[in-house]
Amino acid sequence: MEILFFIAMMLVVVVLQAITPYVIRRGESFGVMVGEKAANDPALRKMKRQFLNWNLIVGGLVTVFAAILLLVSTSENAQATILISAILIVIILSLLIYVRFYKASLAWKKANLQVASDKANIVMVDTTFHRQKLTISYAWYLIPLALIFITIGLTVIYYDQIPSMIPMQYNFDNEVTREAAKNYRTVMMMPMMQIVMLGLFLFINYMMSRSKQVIDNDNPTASMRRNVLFRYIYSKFNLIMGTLLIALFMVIQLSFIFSIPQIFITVMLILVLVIIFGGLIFLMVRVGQGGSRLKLEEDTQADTTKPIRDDDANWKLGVFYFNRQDPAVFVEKRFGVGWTINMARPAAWLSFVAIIAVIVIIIIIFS
Amino acid sequence: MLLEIDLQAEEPIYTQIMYQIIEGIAKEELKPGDDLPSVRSLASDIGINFHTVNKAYQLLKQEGYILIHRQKGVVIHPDGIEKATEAFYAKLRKKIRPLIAESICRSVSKEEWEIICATIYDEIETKEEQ
Repeated sequence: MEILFFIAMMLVVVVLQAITPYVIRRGESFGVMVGEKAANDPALRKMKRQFLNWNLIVGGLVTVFAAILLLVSTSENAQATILISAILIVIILSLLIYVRFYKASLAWKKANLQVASDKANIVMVDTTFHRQKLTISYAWYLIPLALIFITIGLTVIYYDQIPSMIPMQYNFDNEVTREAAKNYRTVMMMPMMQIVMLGLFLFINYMMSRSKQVIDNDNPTASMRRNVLFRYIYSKFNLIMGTLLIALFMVIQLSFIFSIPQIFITVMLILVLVIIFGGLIFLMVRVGQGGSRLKLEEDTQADTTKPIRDDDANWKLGVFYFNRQDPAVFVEKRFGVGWTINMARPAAWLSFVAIIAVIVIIIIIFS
Repeated sequence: MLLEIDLQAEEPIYTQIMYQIIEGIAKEELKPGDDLPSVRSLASDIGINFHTVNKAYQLLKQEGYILIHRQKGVVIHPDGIEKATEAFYAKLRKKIRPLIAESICRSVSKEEWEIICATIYDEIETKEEQ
């Protein structure tokens, strides 16, 4: 069972990374802005294919190697170490492969696009962008909030029925490896985690609505429409993801009180993971970063070719945005799907430190 | 309405914003009472300092193109833009004068000058009829 779980997990991690060059904006190549026209160049397309192959080969080898180690190892601790290191190794190796192609893209741009990108740095913005419906209404989050209230309510009402020891940690065979004595503090652990999660998903929704608009110079109107749809779709998915996770935690908490068959929890856990990761991969492929893979009816080839934006200097290694001039806190990722922060803004750092601090504090207090 | 800002142009960014918004009003892409993004939001969308956007908005406000409410934000002047006054004509003449002088230096004829004026005028105005 744990071997299957491990392989599935590695598959998700490797696939998510391998397909990234295909799902980012069309005008970009490994974090380098090249413009939509140049992106079709055979040299750049070959790089994407090579990145995909490299990731699949490296990911496959690490998975096979780690799976053999997992099978021979007996201790619980060793298995956990293998699992975490396998994922870390795959991520680090993928990063190294990325850096290689990032540098190759920069060199390609320098050699082939110098004239076009020499002195132009045109930004397009739509004045009505942030007035459009970019995310779903916050009222939808009343659904997961209601689940949290139900969890807390049932916990309080049936407090007496909760066994004196409650499980805190499980291994892969669903055996309890750590327990804690029942009291109001330990019993409230799950609801607190639900609240933190709700806060996190609300924050992500806020980030989606506030992050700066990115409009491709080549086809501004279609690109703007895509950007709006992109945010709206991910905002919906964000709610679904949040609600599912909070429901999962609710079921786990209720299993302390009522006799819920173990198989039900296992099936639900697998179902939630499949929906989240399957959905993520599906959206990456169908929607793409900034909606770049969405097919629109009004899609026409750009008739006027504007010089491409040349702000590569603000993107360290093509992944870290650092721009003192830019007051924006949240920005769309260059390489990857989703959002990142402007590292030159203290507010961006603070919000992330605050999130981590809250999680750490909750763990310390409630366990 | 789409703004197109060239971050490396000689023309300052605040004048680019100003002139494009005025042109947007002329083309009726922006109608009286339409919302404009807040200073903060526009600055971060373009990726420039707040003060730059603020300067453009202050100048637009002075000349009566927009209103800046504390609560409601920035809107195109709901009563429409004031008709040209004698002061406006004076300013117009003053602004065009050096351009005509330059053109004469480079032997642009009066007819050519008039054609250029007419085409640009039509370019901006025809959009209005669509």
